[in-house]
Amino acid sequence: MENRNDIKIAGSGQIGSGIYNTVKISGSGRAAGDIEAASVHVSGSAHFESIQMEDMRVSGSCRIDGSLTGGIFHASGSAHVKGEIQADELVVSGSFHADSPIHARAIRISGSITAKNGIECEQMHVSGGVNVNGLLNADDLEIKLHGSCAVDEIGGSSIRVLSEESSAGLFARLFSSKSFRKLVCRTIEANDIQVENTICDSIHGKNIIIGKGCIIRKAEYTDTISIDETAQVGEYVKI
Amino acid sequence: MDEWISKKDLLKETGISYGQLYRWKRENLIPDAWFEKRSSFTGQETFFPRTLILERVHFILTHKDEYSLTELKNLLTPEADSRTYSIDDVKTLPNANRSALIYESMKHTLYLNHGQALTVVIAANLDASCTVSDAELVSFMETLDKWQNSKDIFSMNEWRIFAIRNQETLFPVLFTTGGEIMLPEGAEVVFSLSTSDISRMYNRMLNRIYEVK
Repeated sequence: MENRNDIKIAGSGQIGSGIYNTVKISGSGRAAGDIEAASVHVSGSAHFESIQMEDMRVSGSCRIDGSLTGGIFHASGSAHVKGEIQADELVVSGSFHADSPIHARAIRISGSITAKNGIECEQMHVSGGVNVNGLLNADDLEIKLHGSCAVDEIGGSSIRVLSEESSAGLFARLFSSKSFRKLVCRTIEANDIQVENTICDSIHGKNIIIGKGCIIRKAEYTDTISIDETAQVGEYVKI
Repeated sequence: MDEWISKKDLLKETGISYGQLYRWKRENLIPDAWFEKRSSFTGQETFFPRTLILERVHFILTHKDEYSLTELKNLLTPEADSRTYSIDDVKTLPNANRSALIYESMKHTLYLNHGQALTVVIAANLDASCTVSDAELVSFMETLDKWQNSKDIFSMNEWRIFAIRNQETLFPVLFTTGGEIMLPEGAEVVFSLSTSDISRMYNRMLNRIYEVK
């Protein structure tokens, strides 16, 4: 039977690699090696190698040079992960940056996410901005645009990209002009697709709704299509 | 028949949806390596190896109601150290009796993991294809075990295992898709040259003596 310890840093300090029960960093902390812990709490700033956790909460900033695996990762502030991510849930309020592929069941972002090597998940909800190199493969994807987004390819079951001007708060409306709220991508392929303010080379789907502000070169649908009068669609064809 | 099929044609022929295809990709039921992007005059299109993908989609559609996606994945590509087989059961497989007996005497074990079982059945296939001595089977299986343990070769896509016979010797060799070669114990690569380097390294050298003449 494993004996797991709790470890706490208040102020500034370093913890060694190992298997812990709770890791608490209040101030600035650094892990000298890989960590496995049931729960990790960071209030301030922390620099880790690889982490395996069941529950991790970061309030402030966090940099993970290795991989991040486990249960739920909550960040309020900014997080940068260099290695591969394999987590159940990623919940970020602020900015999240991943250099390697992300695999998660659910991703919820209020702010921005940058993924340099693709994202795979079942459910993804973003209110803010998304930047993905490679494929964003999500069963259910909803992006509420608050900034400029760029994704190479999107694939999945149900994809919704909406421009949230109407319900955006006064602050957001003052500082974010309509022209910045857009998604640029090469292809979107899914069963049901609904897009606004999306600039896309080709869209393929079963049911497609092309809303206001879209510029699409080609749309191919099998069941239904609806195109807003302000949208520019090069060609659309039923296949 | 074309050996490739486009993603669009795949969906049309099999009746599956984008949602299903992307879900199976996430679950690794369809290897990433099978998605090949090509530029065509209509833009960029993705193609799959036709026979492999149609077989795979058919397999998934046939079994998806009785197994979960994770179970399906383990049926298709079990982890090398998952599963245990008894040597006696492996002996009953086609042509496998001899290689299983030899493996048993090599390892003194009654049970094999998935990787070891693959070694035995692959050796059984070799045994059925040509004449091999007991010692050659031992060395072949030892080499496969060594490769599997160091590089998990049985999970790789499109690598190729050869057994080369030169008069009295049987020599196993593996080529990776990265252009690397894996050799049995005791063998080493003493010389390697890319034909792309011939012009730079050798033709220029020969040009010098040719011009002089």
